[in-house]
Amino acid sequence: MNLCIDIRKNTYYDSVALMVITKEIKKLPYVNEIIVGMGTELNKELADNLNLSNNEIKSLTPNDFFIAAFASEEEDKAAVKIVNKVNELLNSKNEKSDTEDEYKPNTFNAALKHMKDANMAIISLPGKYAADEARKALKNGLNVMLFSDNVTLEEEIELKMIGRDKGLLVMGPDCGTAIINHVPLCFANVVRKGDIGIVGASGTGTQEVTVLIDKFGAGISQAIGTGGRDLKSAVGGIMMIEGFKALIDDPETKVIVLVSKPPAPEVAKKILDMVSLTNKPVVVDFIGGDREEIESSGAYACISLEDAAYKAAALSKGDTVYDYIGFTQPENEIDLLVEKEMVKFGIEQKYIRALYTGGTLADEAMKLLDKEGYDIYSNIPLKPEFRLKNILKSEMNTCIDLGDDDFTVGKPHPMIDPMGRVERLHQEAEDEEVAIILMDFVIGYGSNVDPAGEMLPQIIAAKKKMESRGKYLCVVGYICGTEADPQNYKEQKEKLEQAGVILMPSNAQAVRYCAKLMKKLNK
Amino acid sequence: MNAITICEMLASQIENELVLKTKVHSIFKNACNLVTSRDEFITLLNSDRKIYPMSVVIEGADIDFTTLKMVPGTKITLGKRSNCCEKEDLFINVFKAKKWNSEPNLEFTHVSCEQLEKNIKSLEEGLNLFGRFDFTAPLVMSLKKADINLKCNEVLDKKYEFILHRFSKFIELIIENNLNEIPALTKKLIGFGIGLTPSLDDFISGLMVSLIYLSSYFSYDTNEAYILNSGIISCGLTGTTRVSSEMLKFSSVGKTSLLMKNLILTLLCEADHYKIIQKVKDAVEIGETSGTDTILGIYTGFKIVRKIKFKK
Repeated sequence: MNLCIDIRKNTYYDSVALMVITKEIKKLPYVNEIIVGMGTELNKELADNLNLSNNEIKSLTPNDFFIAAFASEEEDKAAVKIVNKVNELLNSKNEKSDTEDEYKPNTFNAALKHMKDANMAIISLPGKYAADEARKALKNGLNVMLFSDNVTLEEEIELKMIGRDKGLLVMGPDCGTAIINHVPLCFANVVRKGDIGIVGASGTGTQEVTVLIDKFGAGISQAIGTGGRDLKSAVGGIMMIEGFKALIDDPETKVIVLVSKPPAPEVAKKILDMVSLTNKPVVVDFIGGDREEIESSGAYACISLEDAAYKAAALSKGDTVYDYIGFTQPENEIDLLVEKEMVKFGIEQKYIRALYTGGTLADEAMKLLDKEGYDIYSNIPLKPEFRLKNILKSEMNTCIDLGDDDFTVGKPHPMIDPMGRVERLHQEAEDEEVAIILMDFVIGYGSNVDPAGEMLPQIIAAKKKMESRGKYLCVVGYICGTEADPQNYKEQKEKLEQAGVILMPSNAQAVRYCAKLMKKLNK
Repeated sequence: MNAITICEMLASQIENELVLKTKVHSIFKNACNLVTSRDEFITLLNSDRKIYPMSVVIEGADIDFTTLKMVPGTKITLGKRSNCCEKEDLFINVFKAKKWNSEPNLEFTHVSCEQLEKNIKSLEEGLNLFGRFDFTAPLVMSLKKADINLKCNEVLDKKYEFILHRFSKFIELIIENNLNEIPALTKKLIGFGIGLTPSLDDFISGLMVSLIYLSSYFSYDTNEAYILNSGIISCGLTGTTRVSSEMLKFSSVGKTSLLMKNLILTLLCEADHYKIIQKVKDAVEIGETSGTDTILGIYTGFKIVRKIKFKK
């Protein structure tokens, strides 16, 4: 190792510059250890401890700047290269560089100072402090994505009114998904660019629709989030309406999709009135909403998130629009797959346990199973009588939203850390009456780097446990994501399939497949 | 250039001498350090939010000092009449500048001890939310007897571990009010860290200022805090940068930046959780980690003050 030293007498740099220099020089492949700083007694002692000292360093005064580094002997002129790199960093600090992108400001003011031309602030703070930052962002002319929950209703209304008056978006609170100008924000997927614009009050609902639009061969212009409370009476759908208006005016958007749980009636009316006034085709998925009311406005109503995606893609491509209710695979192949599974179950096995990380996907699963006549117990039940007495213990047919506040207070969301689901799966496999496990695997930005890999050992263990008791555990899964997502969709798929997980191409199809199994099991 | 705000002690110096001749020492984007013929330090700032002892705020928000025609050695005169300076000098007119008092404000109406405890919890929450933790936070977290409640994922790099024992010993000596050993040990801490005000200097600065205010809060003999602080800085000032050494001198007598002063007074005088969080958020914006390191010093002061063997 060569000791490389650069000394600048009576020279001063600010601490941000020194931090950047330290980080960047450390990254050089031939640099082993480095100290950057002023020649204070303590910094000299540190250099000495690390054998990064010599007589020159020892003679420094506290007002001298120094860099001392160990560089590989094989690197020719390492010292010169380090000095050049330092100079380059110091000279480029006023320009936008990769290094600057790594700077993570800890307050809004610091962030704004760092990136003066920013036009969007993503705020993820405990709810009680988030509104202040959002107000500040709006005051500075920035659109806001408010990831935080626990922001009061009054604050939400106030912020959205400010946003509306200033012509700025206020996505949230509790907004987890958006794609703005083709940039995925928070939990979002890498999807094809296109002419379909979405306004969504549901995070995983929006993810599912964008992902499936991509699979149907169409693309997204914008996906604007509103937060789950936006369509309630008190908020009045302020951001759904503003987002809708923006997409109506957006020349890049040809087809509009609105996704939310059924809005308050007066809010639904306002939105559907707007639908009837625009020339652009609008697909409305008020999950479980009144089909007749939606269609009377001229919008296309949907029976599932997949159906919404299909209809939007068909409209975008000029194809015939119909209800997408079946399977991608031919029905007889699906029936064959059902038969193959059926022979493996034991006599008492009859229940499904759906363990979801995405709330809207769980909600959709319950609605589709409800239509098939099944009563589903849950922590977010469709009917109050099916609320689980103890959310930690499933009853008969159960669907759990593991991302709900019931499970996430003080813990990361299961899309980030699936440990809660791993434990729950272990528990479900103890119940000999369980036949089917249904799970979503949400990939994309924000999600765990390997959701399939995290669940895999427990899936294998659960299946083995059932097998040891002469039973069979059918695991049905759905990967919500695209091949362009950072997790490697193909690898995720292969991992799950190798463990015997039956994968379906959408949440709706995964649920429908389970419903077919349940029908046979309950005969 | 016109000044809009000026530290009162600097203003009175100009009042007495009419003009103050200085030379540029160092230039940064948001600040420019000047040195007088008596080797005193003066800082030019571009925002009065961050004013601190012996500084002057220049008119025109967002001035970038690095873009002005100044280099180390450039002559700058501060005064009320521009004809007092030589032609080639830059002149800063302080005539209309409003004065800011950097003296510690010890005449405050304070909250109860029970409320103070709640305020310390708010301070912890603010630090955990907005603090930019580097290596000072793991050092503070290692203090076993101080009931530290910080949530910091930073782990002290092995190469800095040699400082750990000194740091905990330093806090022990402060608690013992051991003026015999404090100077020598502090000398082995001052100047540790990256930047113009090394991290541990910022920490010590925050600690010293908090002790002045807290001794007043608890009705201890404030002189004891001044004596303890003078012990802390008595040996180490030559081992650190010039800027930092000035900061430590001011802090030892309770003089600090407006942002830190506001934070301490809010902690001692107000029962407003959100206001404390807001003050923490404002103060962490100083420098890269300087703000956080100084608040960590203040926090430690609040945590240990009742254990310090002051005469009551």
